[in-house]
Amino acid sequence: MDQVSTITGLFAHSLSYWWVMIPAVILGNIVGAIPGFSAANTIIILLPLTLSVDVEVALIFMMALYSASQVGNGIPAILVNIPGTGGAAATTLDGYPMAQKGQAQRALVYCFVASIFGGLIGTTFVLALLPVLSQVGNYLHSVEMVVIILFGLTLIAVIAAQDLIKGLLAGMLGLLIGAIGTDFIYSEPRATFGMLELYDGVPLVPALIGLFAISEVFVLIERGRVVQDEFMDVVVSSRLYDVWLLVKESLGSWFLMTWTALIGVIIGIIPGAGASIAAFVAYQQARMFSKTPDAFGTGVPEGVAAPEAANNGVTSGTLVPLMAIGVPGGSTAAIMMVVLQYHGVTLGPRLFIDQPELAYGIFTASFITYLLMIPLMFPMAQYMSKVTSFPAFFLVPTILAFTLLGAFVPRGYMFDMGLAVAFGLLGYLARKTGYHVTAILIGIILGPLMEQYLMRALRISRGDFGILFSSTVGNVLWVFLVITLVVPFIRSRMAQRDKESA
Amino acid sequence: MDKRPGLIPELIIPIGAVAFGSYYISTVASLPFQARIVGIYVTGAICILSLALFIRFARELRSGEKSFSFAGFLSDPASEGRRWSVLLLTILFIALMPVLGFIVSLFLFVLGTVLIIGGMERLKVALLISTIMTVTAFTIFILFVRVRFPLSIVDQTIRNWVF
Repeated sequence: MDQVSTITGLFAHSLSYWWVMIPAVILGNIVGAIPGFSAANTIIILLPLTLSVDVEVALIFMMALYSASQVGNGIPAILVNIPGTGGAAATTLDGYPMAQKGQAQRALVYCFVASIFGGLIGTTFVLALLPVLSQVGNYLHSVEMVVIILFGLTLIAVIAAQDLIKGLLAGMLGLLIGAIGTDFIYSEPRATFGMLELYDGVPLVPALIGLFAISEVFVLIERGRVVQDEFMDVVVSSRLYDVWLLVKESLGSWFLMTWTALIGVIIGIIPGAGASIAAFVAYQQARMFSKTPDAFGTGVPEGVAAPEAANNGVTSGTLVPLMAIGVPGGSTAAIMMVVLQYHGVTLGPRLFIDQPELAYGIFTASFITYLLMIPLMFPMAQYMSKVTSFPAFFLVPTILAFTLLGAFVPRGYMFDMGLAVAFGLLGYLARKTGYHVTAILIGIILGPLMEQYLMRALRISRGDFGILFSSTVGNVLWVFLVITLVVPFIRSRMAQRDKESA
Repeated sequence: MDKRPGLIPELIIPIGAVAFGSYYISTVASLPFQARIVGIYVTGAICILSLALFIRFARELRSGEKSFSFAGFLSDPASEGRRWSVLLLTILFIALMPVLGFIVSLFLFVLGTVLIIGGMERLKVALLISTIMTVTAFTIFILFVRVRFPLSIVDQTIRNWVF
């Protein structure tokens, strides 16, 4: 009872920092929407600010910015097929086809509702089960991570369903591109073409920008605008009242949003895993349990809701190991740790006893931030959706300029801008010839992670693959993976048989 | 005129993937097993899948379903011209930014791209868009976020004037 009243008090306390949260939400949305920017590098840039203010203000500001940037990532993914980060890449699968069909406003509302709902569910779940969740990381080692990443990689096969050979080839090419750079154990360079810039592997942002944004620009030049001509009226006639109707409609998917947000929380807790894995796993699971799995990829709102809810579930999950055991779950959490340590905060179990207003406060602040996003974000959906009707002579230079500059930002190499153009050509060729761009991207994102965990597991077992089946949790995950792969096959066979008998 | 879709563009990715896989294997050949494992398995999979594709393409070619050409890949000449011009301008933008600096190269790049796509009759609009975008990008990337883009004397003067 005492704890409940403490947390209730913390909610009221967090709400009093609305003046910190609102600018952080606006800034977070902007940096989230610009490819190349992220909450992590924005917090680094703003370090002088966060180090100079009170620790509570700094923490709330960073948390609000982080949460809002996750929501912001989905905006360009839907409107112009540009995922700002790997986590938003899964959103493009259905978000962009919806925008092309004149349903950008609907896709954005689903994105916002799923993000906010996912964020609220994630923080509530974490607040309720923090002591238990902080132990989850102890049960998920490299073996279990291999299986979790395999869940995401199976999406390649799902995407490849229309042309299996081409899709799988695209996925394999992505995996091989992802394996460029020094290996994780011996630090020996592999397939770097002698370029020092590739020793750390293929940077994700230029790859994302090239495969999605630049290839999209080349298509846009031909097509004239994002939205297809027959749907122009729908975009032009959208009203603010429609947003409210769409919010009500999207809340019908509350169950999907809830469990995909929980997927996000669990994956977020695992140090090193992140929004990319969570979003692809959530998308793959949403498709598997959907009544219309074949419609995924053609522009279904559930395909937007699932990855967005998972992305925002990750936000809370990633802070669990940071606050509970002092191990950051991701890059943003690591930077937050630096700020907190500068302010003299000792992270770990004692924090919940010594400074509960900080330990629990970060999660209550996140909850309030998501609530504040409701009035700030939804009215914008109507205006944002108009972007899809802009002519190519405006969109093409805007997208090209901002994405190329965005490709430079994370590492500060001119090389990365050139790399983005090279990936743009690959993406354009892949689009025109039926090799799925997203399959290439999944390989690039998940390939290095898969290799890293697989290598670690094999290193422990001295090269024995039997280690992959050596843990109970891992074996349970293997069973789920097999079910995930077999169930759609059985369902399609049953549907085919029903059709034949009818 | 032959209206069958051409096969040559579809061959580029599998041939490129096999070539890249071979290069990858050549760079890891002398490394310990654990550093090679991904390359070996993935390149093996690429070779098998590419072989399957080549067999399929050969069948399509023999049945007359597709032709050995670029047909269907290239769109109308006007769009193709715009696309290649924008690509060329993009490469020039990246190559010349270290020489011309942030403001000048970005302004010229945006101006050129708008004119290529919208035509010379949109010169006023092009000037307006390129000015607004250059100012916005300079404010965000140079003044606010302080990204270390190559700066010319013009950029440095403006930055020093603002601060």
